[in-house]
Amino acid sequence: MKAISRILALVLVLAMALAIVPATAEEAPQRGGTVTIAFPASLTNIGFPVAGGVQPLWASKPAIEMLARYDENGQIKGWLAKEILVDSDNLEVTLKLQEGVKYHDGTPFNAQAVCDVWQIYIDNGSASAYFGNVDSFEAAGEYEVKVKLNEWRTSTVGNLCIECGVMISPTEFKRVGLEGIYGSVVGTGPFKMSRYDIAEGIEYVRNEDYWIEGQPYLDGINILFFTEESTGENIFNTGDAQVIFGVSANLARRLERNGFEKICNNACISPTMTGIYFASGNQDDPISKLEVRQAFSYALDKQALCDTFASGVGFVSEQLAIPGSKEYNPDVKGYPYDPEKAKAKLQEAGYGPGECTITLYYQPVNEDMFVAVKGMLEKVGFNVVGDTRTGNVSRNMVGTTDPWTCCAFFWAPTTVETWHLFFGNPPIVYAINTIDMEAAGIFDCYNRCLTSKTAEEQKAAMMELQVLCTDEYCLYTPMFDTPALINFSDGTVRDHGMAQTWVCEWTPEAMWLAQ
Amino acid sequence: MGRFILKRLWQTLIILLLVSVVAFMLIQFIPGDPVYVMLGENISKEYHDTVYESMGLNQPLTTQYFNWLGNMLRGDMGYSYHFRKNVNQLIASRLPVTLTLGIISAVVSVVLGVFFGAVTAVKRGTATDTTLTVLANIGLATPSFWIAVLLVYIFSVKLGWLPAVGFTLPWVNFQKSIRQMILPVICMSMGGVASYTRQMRSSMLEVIHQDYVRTARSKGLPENKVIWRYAVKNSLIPILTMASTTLRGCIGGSAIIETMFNIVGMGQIMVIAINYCDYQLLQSSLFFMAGITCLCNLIVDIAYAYADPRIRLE
Repeated sequence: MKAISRILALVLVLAMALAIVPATAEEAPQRGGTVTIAFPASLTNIGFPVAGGVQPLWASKPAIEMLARYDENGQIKGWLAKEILVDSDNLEVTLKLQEGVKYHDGTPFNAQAVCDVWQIYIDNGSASAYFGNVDSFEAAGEYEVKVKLNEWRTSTVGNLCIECGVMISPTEFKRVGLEGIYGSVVGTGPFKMSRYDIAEGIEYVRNEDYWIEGQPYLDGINILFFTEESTGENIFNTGDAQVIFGVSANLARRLERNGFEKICNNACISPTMTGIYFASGNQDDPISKLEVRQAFSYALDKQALCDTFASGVGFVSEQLAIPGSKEYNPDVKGYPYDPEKAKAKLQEAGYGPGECTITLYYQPVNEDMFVAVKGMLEKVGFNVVGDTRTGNVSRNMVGTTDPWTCCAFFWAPTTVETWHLFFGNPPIVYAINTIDMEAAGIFDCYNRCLTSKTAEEQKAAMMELQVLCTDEYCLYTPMFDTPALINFSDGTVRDHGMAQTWVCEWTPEAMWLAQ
Repeated sequence: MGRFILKRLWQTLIILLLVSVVAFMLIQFIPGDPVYVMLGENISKEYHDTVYESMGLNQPLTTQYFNWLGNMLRGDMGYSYHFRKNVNQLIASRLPVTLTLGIISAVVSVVLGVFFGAVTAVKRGTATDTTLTVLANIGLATPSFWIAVLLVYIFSVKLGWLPAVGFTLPWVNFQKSIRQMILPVICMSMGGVASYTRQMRSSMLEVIHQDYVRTARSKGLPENKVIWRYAVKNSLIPILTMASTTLRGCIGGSAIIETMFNIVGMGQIMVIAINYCDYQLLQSSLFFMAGITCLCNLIVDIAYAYADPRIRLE
């Protein structure tokens, strides 16, 4: 009996060991193979990707690296700039660069190259947007760049190392010029471009001289363009591509249903949300009262709206941030759907059923959503008048100082970089008249989000702003987000890093293909 | 014959002139500034002005038209701002793809259509006739993009026998080319096969009751010989007329199939030109495709006149 027990125990241990070994082996990166990515566009400017937005930047990542990347907490971490140092006055930024890095054209990546690339950005329209607070920059050594600032902004490091941190080869730029650089991808990345057809796709092959020892793992990466989404779906379904980039919500739902792996973090791919903002220059108007705005917010069944209008892939948020993002404050209570509370708040504001009339502006394309929202509001006692105007008309009306009142659908900015749309002076999407934002301390808080000297201070300011705008003053009612640019994988691609920390981010050097 | 050719050439030139006016006017109908429409509103004023001038948009409309037409006649089709390439180069690289697909599809349509048409006429009233006629009607009524979706789902997604996308020219990799071409060619020729079958059937039915066919039979010629040498041959004249339409349809109508199968030919670049507001490319390629169509018609008309002297005498 004892012997049998021993044998059984041995068998058990062996079985456990066998179960563990393949799992461990599977996680070790494997070399070789080519990953094909189906891509819904015909790209025109991958060599100078910052000019074209998300898609060109994403597609050029195998070849062109940046000075920095985002970490999983949304903070900037060095990449080609291994250290990013800010002095105690926040008026000088020092970048210490990786040494021994070479561009694909054989020229060295060094401090002078960084300065030359920044100069290219400045000469081509990025001066005011990204270098507005930069007095000067210079190569302070072979691998050290010093940047002098005239004032500190929290976006400074991001502007220098991310927005203008795409390190194309300045030598190549000099050789081919602005027009030529759009099709000539020369960077320091783990892959070199071997073929680029603007209508067909891009082929990358392994860069044998890559600066990280032992990487990349793949032999190549192919990006295959398609113009019709069903074609992209076929490419992916037949296994001709292992990854499909930027699919629509409808296709995402279908692929999810078929068991494919969604490989993106919602916080990274959802820059805007659908919501309703309140604006009133007239203090006698119902929505000038906090209780009315709160009643409005409680009355909306945001989950039902999300399920109906976000194609089954959306999610609800009660603040100007996506859950999981650095701007998101988990302590914000918001206004979860509660018709009884809505009625009580309306009562508290002095309005009986049908006595509180509000005008809700919407664009004709949102007719369905307007009808749904109107129904919810009327259920709790609001009297809703609908009005359709173009965005420009309502913008002009709210942007002026005339007393004007509205509730209107808006696409809420959800990142600190885009909050100026709401809090800027003048704001592009509007709540400026609803309350005295200055007196409420909202502008001060927003300015601290932009000028804090440390990430911690900025975080605190962002959290405070969310509480002020949502729980305290109910300036708007964000409703739901419909993610865009959703990526899927067939499950064989590992360590891709796609849209995990930023919409344009992925890690081609670490990516590998499971057999 | 020479006079007939000259007359047809003259007609073709007039048609081309009219097409050039329509193609040119397209860009004039764009609401707003075509440069901003084409390149987006974020471009600098300087770049806008450079492109505006380079496109000659600062000149009077008639000057613009004649400049463009003059350039086209000299063989300069302009510059594509989306592809950042000369339109001539672009067409030279994409036309072989569309022509290969178009010609193969047209040949498949004619050969199979004539064969099925002859069979249905000879076997008139039998189950074979009924089946093929019904299939031909279905083929005519079914849109090619739907056939494409269905075929890709069955043969690529489910069975994995054939590639769902891509195109390789036969002289680059013959085997790969054949595999990639099967589904698009089926989709592009389906309608053609159906039309030819129906046309050939009615044409054959008319011919096989003619005196010369009866004479051939009465002379004791084998039935096969009577059918293929006398009946089929004389039923082909209407088919010849249809051939130009088929080739034109295959080339001009390839946009949908090229998009579905991710084949970057003329159709696909025209779709991209529309999507990305590349009007110079669109304008020039439209004119070019119209030119090819006119040429096809001209060749067929001449062949038709050659085959049937009554045509040129009219």
